[in-house]
Amino acid sequence: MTNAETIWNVISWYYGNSTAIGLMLVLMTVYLLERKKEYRYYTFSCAVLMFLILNQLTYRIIERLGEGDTYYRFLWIFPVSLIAAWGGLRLIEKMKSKMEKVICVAVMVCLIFLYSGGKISDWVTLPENIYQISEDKIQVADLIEEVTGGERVIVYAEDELMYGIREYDANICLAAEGEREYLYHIITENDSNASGNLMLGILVNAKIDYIVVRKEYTGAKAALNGGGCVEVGQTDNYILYYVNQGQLKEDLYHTYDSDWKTDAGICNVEDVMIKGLTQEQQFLFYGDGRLDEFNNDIGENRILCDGSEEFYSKEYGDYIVCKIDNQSQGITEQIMKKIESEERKKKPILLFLNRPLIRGEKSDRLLDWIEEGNSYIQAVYAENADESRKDMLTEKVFQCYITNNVAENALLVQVRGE
Amino acid sequence: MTAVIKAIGILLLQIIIYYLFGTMFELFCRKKHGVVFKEISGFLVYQVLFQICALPMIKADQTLARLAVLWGVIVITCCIGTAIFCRERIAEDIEMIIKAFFRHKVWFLLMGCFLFAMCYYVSINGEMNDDSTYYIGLINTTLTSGRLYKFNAYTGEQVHSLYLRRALVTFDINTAVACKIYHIHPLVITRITRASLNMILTAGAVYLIGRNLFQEEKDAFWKAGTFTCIALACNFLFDNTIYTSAAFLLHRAYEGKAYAGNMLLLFTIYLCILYIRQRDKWNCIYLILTLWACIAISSSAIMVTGAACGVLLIPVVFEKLIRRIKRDKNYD
Repeated sequence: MTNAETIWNVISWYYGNSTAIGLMLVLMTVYLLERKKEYRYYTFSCAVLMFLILNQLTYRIIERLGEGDTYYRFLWIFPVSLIAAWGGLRLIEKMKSKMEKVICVAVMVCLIFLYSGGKISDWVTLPENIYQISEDKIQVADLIEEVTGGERVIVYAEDELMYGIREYDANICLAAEGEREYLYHIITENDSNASGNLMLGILVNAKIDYIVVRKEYTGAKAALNGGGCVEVGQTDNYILYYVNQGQLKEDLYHTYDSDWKTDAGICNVEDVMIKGLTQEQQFLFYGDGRLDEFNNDIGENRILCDGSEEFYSKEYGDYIVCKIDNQSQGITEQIMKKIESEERKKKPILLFLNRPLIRGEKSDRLLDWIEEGNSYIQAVYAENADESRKDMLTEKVFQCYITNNVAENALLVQVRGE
Repeated sequence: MTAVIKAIGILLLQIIIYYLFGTMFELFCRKKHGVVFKEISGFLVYQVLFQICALPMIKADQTLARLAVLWGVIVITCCIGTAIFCRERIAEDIEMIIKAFFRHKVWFLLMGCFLFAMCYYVSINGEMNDDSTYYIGLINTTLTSGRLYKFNAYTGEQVHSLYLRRALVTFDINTAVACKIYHIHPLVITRITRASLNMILTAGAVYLIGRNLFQEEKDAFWKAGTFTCIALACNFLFDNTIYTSAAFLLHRAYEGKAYAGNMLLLFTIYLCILYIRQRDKWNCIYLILTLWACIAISSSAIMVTGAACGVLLIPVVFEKLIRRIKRDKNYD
């Protein structure tokens, strides 16, 4: 009970709308107990209770000792339920016939039920499950248990989901320190606008093993994927992401130390996840529109297109990479036809553009196509943007805006499996 | 369903164990008490013994498995010892219960139904709040990690020092031991077994007070029963804020605090009433036992029951003082 100023605050907040009943019972006790010799002790006890404990001075002292919040527990000493029962029993005894007694008990029960504001649902509604916690929590905890094999892991999710989850599974440890505010904003507000670099920093600092996000939050999914989080399972309402700390740390240190095995200056690192992909691949996307295949392990760059072609595409095992020069002409009808022919291959498409897709800027054809929802385009990376950000074009497709326009600098895109 | 049956089975087994512990303590005190009294005192003895057993093991950083084995051996030894040495008393009690049952069938039936309804209510209306996250989280953390008080219940992080306020409280560790022995989930044992146990023991304490209040009256047995039912039902009347002992009993019955505000406090009041009436030194022993058990059950319990003891027994001290002054005056 915090912020109680006076002892009267404590008493009235304690009883709530039963304060009147509580006071009535105190008076009744004093009156009734006074009449029997032995009971005078108890009346005197009540006086001692009031004098020694339930007074403003004692309250202040206990508050100073840091127990002001729990001071109300001294009020438990006054057994109001017993006194009420005693009064009730005496009332029943006054009834002469059995019928009167039964009616008296029935009236009492009704009064108690009505006054207490009791709901029938409290009696008849059974909990969702034997554990009396929400089914979502159980599903998420079971999924984590299944994925980790019962290991102790640090998990991050919205408070509502994590509240009390350790009651069910104590192997789930909660990330309480490190970056919280922005990551929490991303996963609860469905915010996609976080660069891969930023996500790397956040996730590594927070030392999180798994992140749980609502299924419908595809923006958060794009942001997490961009930072290298991999989807490892789903429940009815949530998706579980694995944060590969080893991998992320490696990427982060490469970025901080600028020791990627390439001559290009890496301006940002973005990860993208392709379902079922086994062969990981890195791409470098330069400010002048050049696109390279890259392998950081051996430090190898292979030019896919030098940026001069209007349209370029390459089909990999599980996905297609397309590079479009939309700097001057935008998305022309011819380009659209080429895109449509790539779409027919029914594989996820990673689209690299010289300019972001913005309505009214010769991009409407492609934007309409994507928004229709039939497109296989999964991610759009666009250089020469006015500001760096990541937006959702539709529920499933995101566009990553990169301000880079320098030919020596490149965006590193890492295609990984999910 | 199996888990519910198991939880009820554990509850019944625990009730038998508490009865045997109560009988054992009665043997040491060489004083006869009723079954309800033995049940409650047995619960207190059980908690005190567990605290004596657990605290050194917590200090020595022993595992939960070792504590469970040690405690299992102690409980089995005590129960078998009591069953052998107190077999006549136990037989007497069983006979008495059977006789009382056949004499007051309706009473037993009504009380049984009422208690079942109340236990059902507290079992399905358990709240999820900060405290449940802490207490049940602590039990589950202890069970999962196998270590005693070594991990933060909220976050699972390792803690380097014991939370001083709860340094002597072993009630939750006791629940973790029960989970380990019976192979039951902490949420099930707390929300069903522990919550119902509190309701049953509280009903027992109210019944004892009722028997004491109406002992000289006609139909004391029936009156005490009715008194118990009305008193428990009146808890709904005071369930309109989160602070009342009634709210703790109805929604957080498995917590040590809920035991403190109901069963422990009422039993303390009962013992104080007995002491005021009889001035028997054994009541003081039971009172000390209760206060000790309070330390093991909840940090709030010792504060509240200690204050209740003081409040109820100060008049006795005053009375003695007044008598002595009067006697001295007469002597003069």
